[in-house]
Order: sequence, then C-alpha cells, then structure tokens
Amino acid sequence: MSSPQSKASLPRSLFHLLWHPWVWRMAQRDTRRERKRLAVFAGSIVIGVGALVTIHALRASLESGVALQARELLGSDLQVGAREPLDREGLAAVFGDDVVEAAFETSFSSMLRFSGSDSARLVQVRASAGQYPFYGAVEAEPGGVWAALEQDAPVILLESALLEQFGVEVGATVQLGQAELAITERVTKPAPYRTLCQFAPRGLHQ
Amino acid sequence: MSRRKRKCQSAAAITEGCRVKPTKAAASRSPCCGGIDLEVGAGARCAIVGISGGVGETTLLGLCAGLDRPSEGSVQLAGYDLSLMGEDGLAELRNAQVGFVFQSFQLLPSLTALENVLVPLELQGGGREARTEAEARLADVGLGERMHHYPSQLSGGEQQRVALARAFVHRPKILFADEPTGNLDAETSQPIEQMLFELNENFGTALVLVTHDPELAKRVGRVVQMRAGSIESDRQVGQV
Repeated sequence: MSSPQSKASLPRSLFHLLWHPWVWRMAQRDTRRERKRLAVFAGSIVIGVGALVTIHALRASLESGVALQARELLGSDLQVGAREPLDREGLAAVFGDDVVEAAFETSFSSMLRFSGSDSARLVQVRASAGQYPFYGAVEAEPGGVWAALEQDAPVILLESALLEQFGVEVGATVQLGQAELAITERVTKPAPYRTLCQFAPRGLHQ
Repeated sequence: MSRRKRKCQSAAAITEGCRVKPTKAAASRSPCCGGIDLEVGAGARCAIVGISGGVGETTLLGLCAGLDRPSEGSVQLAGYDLSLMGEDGLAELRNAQVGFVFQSFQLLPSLTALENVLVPLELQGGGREARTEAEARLADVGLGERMHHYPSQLSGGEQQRVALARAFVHRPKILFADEPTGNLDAETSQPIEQMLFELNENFGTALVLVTHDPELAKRVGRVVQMRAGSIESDRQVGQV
C-alpha cells in the first residue's frame, strides 16, 4: 500500500536530511534560548580536543626524539644489568658472538666523606672498565676523563655541582668506605646512566 | 518515532469512509488489550472510557493512531492498513491525516507557541501560507496575543490550547485525544472541551478521545467502555 501524499515531506536519507533547511531551522530554534550554555559547551569540547591533540603531539615528539637519540641517551646499543658480577664470558653465554665490544661498570650508592671536614654526601658511585660510553662522550676538566682513567693510582671524578656544594677543588681527597681517593677531574658531562633521573649526584671511580 | 509492538489480541478498525474490517482475536500471553472490534466513521465522535485507569484505553489509542503496532490483528486508518506500512509511511500518514492531543500537552519547550503549531505544516513543506494558517488556528483557540510565548510562559490551559491548535492546523481527518483535560481543573477544562467539539464540527474531523470524565463522555455521544483490555460496551448516550 502506498503511503499517503505529503506535499513536500522531509527526505528519508539521513545525509540529505542533514542539509534540509527545516533541520537547521529547528537547530537554530533549539539553541536560541541557550546560546551562552551552548558556547560554553562547544568551547569545552574545543579545549578538550585541543588538549588531547597537544598531549598526543608532545608524546609523539618525545617518542621520536628518544628514538633519534636513543644511542646517545644509553651510550651503547644495549645495557645489561645484573645483581651478580658480570664478565665477557657471562655476556657470551647469553648473546653469543653478537657482542662486539663491551664495557663493564659496577655501580652502587654510598656515602662519600670529604677529607678534612665532617661533611658527607650520598653519591651514586660508578666504577668503570672499558671505553664506555660508545656513543657520546664523558667530559671532564681540566685534563679529560681518559687522562684520569690512565692514572695508576685510584682516583675519583666528581660532578661540578658536588664540588661546588662542599667548596672543594680538584686535587682534594675524599673517603669512600675505607679507600682514600683523590679528586682528579671535575665532570662536566657525565656518562649516560640507565635511569634518566636519580636522587644523588654521581661519582666515577677507577 | 519508534514503534513498540503491543500485545493486542485483535485490532480496532478506524476508517475514514466508515469501512469496518474486524479481525479475529488470537491468544496472547499477557495482552494489554484484546477482542476489540471498533469503527469510527468520518467526522464522527467517540469517547473511550475505562471502568478504572489502565484498562488499555491509551494503548488502544496508540494502536489506532499508528504509534504502536498490534501483536495480532490489523488497524485501518483513513483507508490505510497500518500493518502493511513501514515506519516512514506511518510517519507520513500521521503527519497528513492524524492529529494527537496528549494529556501532558507534549509541546516542544524550545519553540514558541506559534512555532509549535507550525511544526506539522513545516514537515509537510508548508511555506509562508503555513505561518498564516498557524496564526489563524492560534487565534481560533484564543491565543492570538500569546503566540510568541514559550510553553513555560503559558498556563496549563493555554498549553493545551496550543496543543489543540497544533493538532488541527493541518486539517487532519481524525483527531485522537488522550485525556485532553486530565491535567486541567474543571474551570480550565470547559473551554478546552468546547474548542475540541467546535474544531471537530468546523473541520469535519473525526474525534476519538480517551477520558475518565463521564460528563465529557456524555457530550461526545458515543461511549466505548473498556474493561480489562477489551470493549465491554459501545453505546450512544445523551449528546449536547
């Protein structure tokens, strides 16, 4: 049975209905008394969407930045951590012949006492063997980090902030446990560490 | 408008041309109404009353107006068999042939009285003459001075008069009114009822109303009394 005649009924297609003048007229009538509320509502949506887009853009930017600088941030292609002492044989047992070059580091937190005073400070001690980092560089003054590491005597390199905090200069000595260590260099750019943030300044010990 | 499938054993036949097509009742688990065979002719009046509330009179009205679909049986409205029509066809039929007055007015709150009355004509694609027509209907119900007021700015009686103007503006062949004065006091109800009958006579519109007011039912003339979802009696009573 055919439907009753209608002079010019609304289109049945949802797409065409969307562009029908009557629909827009009704929308205009509906919003007439609540324009301010509609503006606040629409503004909230715009701000919300803008915030989401910004967060996603920042996240994408951070991820791409980390991906581009991953080697410099890590200082190597791979870092392996272990609770037990790890050597080249141990690495080979896991990675086989894929390891081209390796540097070993023992790190721990300890109190560092500055000789000649009662001052002590918790530091992150890193004892390195090998030419780490493979990417990027550790910078130290006045002679450079490798100059310090080539010395036969046990020495320590401390970050500038630590030296400034306790008012000591290169050449002074510190006590780490039972060891008396000479400060031979001021570290201006430390080696990458596996955590990007830490709560104590770093000390490098040979 | 979504259409619910009401459990109704048989259906009412309401035809413009007084053509009755009664249907057989069939068993149903929990019908809202059943065993109904009803015909209302063109321009006629009919009051549906219940022994008490909730006996299926509003369901019957919804079925007759094509708002609901019966689980069994058929409904003919203005010569159309509603069971053979789809949603779009029913919507067009309602827009072209049916007026509906609700107990709670059902005006669109964001539209003025004039715009509420204009809606049925705009849905039919009415142009400038639609506005003139809507203004005339509002004047007919005594709201010529308040046509730019919103429903919230009108009293209950005025809102129902706007609903009346809206129901009649597109000259429907049949008007369904579900307790049109149910939310109004006696003083406000009188002019509304008078307008219903005047518009019914002036436009030759068939009038089917549900009411619990025996006086109003008596004025209608034909009273269909329902009990437990079926018609108990269908008789002519004293008419004004």
